[in-house]
Amino acid sequence: MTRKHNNLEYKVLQIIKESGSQGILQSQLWKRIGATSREGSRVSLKLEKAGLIERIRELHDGKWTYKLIAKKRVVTLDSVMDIPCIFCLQQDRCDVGSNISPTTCKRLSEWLEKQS
Amino acid sequence: MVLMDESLLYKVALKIGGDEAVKIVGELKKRGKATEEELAKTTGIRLNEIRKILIRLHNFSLVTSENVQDPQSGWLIFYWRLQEDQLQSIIKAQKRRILEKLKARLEFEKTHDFFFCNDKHCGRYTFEEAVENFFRCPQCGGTLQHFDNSKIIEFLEKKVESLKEELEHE
Repeated sequence: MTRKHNNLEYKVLQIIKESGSQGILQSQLWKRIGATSREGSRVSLKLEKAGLIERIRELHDGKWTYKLIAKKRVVTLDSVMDIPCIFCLQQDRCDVGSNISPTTCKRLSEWLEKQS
Repeated sequence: MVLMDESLLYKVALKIGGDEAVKIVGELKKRGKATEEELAKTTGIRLNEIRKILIRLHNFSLVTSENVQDPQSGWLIFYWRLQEDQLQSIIKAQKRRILEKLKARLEFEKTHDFFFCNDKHCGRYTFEEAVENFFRCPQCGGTLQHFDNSKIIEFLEKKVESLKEELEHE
């Protein structure tokens, strides 16, 4: 019983962590892991009490549910993957006022122009 | 979790040194540790290229090296090894560095007026540069016009905020 619940808690926490800052709706999460809403609510309350997640009440398709957001999230590269500064070989020499600078970098300027 | 870290490892390797770095990292992961010669033999990448990529990976702390004395010949053998346990801190350190660069760029965009000529390939000039050149493009001689950078500022502000928030929760 305990082991089953620990496994479920771990699985739920991983899914919530992977959903990042957007979080995941409680109702969608239970469908994804095949748990009943009663079982699921118990797990999410436990995770909230342990300080691992936040539960934010939200209206979805006319029904009240909770959005679950992890306090500590999985480290990903997604948000910085396309920024030219990532793992740039000039990083140590790049500074405001020097020859290589974030204010004059051509690659950064081109990227910014594409984004805006 | 393990699978996710593995794909993250290859993404990092790809960003640092392209497809060849992915091959080298894959080989190091399989073997645990390897010499440059062993890596060259199994990956088919030229030895000098292997060295170049390993140094790049080493600069970002993704690999480390160690000297082991061969018990038979007494010679020192130079091995390379992955530092997978450092992966998350490597990424977080990169994010912090990027955040600093973006903040510096945002400050620059906010505190300067920019000018550009009709030929966009000539680039942007600050107000001071435009005045020095009598509002003529120093490259093509065209008339310089004011450049509205409000969208760049807006984009950078959002990116800086989201990166800050992300770093707080990782």
